[in-house]
Amino acid sequence: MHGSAEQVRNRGDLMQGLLAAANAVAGAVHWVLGLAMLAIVAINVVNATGRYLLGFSMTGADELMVYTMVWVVMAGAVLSLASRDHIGVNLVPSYATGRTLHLVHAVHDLTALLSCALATYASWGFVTRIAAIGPRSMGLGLPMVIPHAALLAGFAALTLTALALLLRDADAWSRSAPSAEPGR
Amino acid sequence: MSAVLTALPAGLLVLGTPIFVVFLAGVAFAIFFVLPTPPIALHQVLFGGLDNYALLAIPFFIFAGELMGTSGIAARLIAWVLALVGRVPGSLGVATVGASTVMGAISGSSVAAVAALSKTLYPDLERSGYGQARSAGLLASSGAIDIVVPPSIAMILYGLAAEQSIPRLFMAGVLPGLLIALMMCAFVVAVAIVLRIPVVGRFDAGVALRATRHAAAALFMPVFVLGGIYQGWFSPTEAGGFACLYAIVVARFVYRTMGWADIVRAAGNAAMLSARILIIVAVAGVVTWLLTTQGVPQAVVAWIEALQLDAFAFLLSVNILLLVVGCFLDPTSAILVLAPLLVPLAVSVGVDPIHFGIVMTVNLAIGMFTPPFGLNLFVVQSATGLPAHTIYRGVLPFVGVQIAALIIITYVPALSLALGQSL
Repeated sequence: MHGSAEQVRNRGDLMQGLLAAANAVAGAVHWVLGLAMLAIVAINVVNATGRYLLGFSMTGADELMVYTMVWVVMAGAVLSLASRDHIGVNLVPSYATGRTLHLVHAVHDLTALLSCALATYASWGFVTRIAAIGPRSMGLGLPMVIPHAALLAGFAALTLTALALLLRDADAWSRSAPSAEPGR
Repeated sequence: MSAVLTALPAGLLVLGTPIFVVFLAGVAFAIFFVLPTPPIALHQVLFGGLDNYALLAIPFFIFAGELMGTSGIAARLIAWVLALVGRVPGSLGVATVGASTVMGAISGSSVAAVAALSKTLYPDLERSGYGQARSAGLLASSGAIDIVVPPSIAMILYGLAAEQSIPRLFMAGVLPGLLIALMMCAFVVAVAIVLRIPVVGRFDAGVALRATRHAAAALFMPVFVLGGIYQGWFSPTEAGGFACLYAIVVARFVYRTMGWADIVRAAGNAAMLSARILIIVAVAGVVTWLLTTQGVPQAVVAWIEALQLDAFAFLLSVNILLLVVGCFLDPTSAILVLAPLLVPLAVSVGVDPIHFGIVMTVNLAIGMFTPPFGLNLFVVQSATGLPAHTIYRGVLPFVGVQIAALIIITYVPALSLALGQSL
């Protein structure tokens, strides 16, 4: 009995520690995304001003902005999945409580896990091919594997995040206990 | 195949699964297990969906909207509208509609505007006699105007999906947006007269002048952004960048309500919201690609042509379809999936694609606050803490008002096309 209670407490401590670490990483990534967003705005304004007023244009500015945004989208998608902030019709989750809520979330997690794993596999196939061929972008001369790798890294991270959420929700469901759900 | 792309996603959608996961599950299952398509095609089409310079307008206008909310620009706009409508019956309700319209002219995000208005105006609306349900309904439905008034994220997406001019779509949205706002105001005034809701404050030229001076920098923003597009100074995407720069300058140096750390935080929030929208854009692109490669649009066109519908009947059918779809899907997903299917049909029965874009946008804007799944309903619920059924009851009269506006917009194409003729 005593051993079991201690195991539960240790598991709870481990969960809290992991959550704190995940929150710290999420905060840092959020900050980096903000800086990337400001950089994209700055490039856009400088490029447009230069083109229309000063008669110069930055070569590859459009590529730089778009490829940065591709990385921003994938990183933001991972953070949003972790915090359950993605756009969805959340009527059922808003009314569900206790084990039902964990079960609903587990369905979300499992679907995300399977579909993102398939997308990761597809991206892996494409990125390894493009890495072997070695094409470069037209404006910046950037190896195209860099922007394409955003999808591979993003879907891999989404898969791992979905797996972590699934384990947490399955654990909470099995214990019939509330987990540390964001926003609850 | 079509069953995989509809039945599986429908069940997941109802359970509240993130929309991008719903679409991804459908297309990944189809590509890996049903169709003879190589899996790397999934990556290629996903990347192609994001590798689009014009899409940058979306994060830019979201960032401008985020800055507007956090810097106090929104609060100044609300105060300005309130100062102007002081003596009108139902003045607070009219101010809600007016503020939403003005905010829509700055940001393309309905959700951001509804969140800002709900936090600021809900307590006063409820106290001044509108009651919980009507106040919540007014706030949720006013946000729909933001989607129609330019700059509009929905129109940017429609322009990309249907290969139409985004500046022309922006211009086409001006009169329909104002029509919806006017009809909402008329309804609010009528309700205020019937319910004898007291007039809040009175018009004072001095107060109005002061409020105008306080909000001047914010009010100049849509003039600068939209004026710049139509003067040919910059493209819609570049205009989005300048809107961000303008909002940063106003927030940091004019109103001095934000430090650099606040601006980075707002940029991070905008990046997150943009990511949530653009991941749907990427995955919806795969849905559209799969439907096209399977010949679904051609089959639908042939089927509709066989029915020999005229433009009137076609638009009526499309309105019913989109109103139903809007109850379950957000405008981003609906436009990206349905525009490539419906635009060829519209053109084949003689409907102008710009006019059709406005009809689609207004339909899906109504869907933003139509029960059970309109996104604005959840935003109001989160801001006010009201139960969903109270908000559902409150929005129903406004659904009626906006459907009446939709009928006018649908069958009077000149409303959408008159301003754009000169472009």
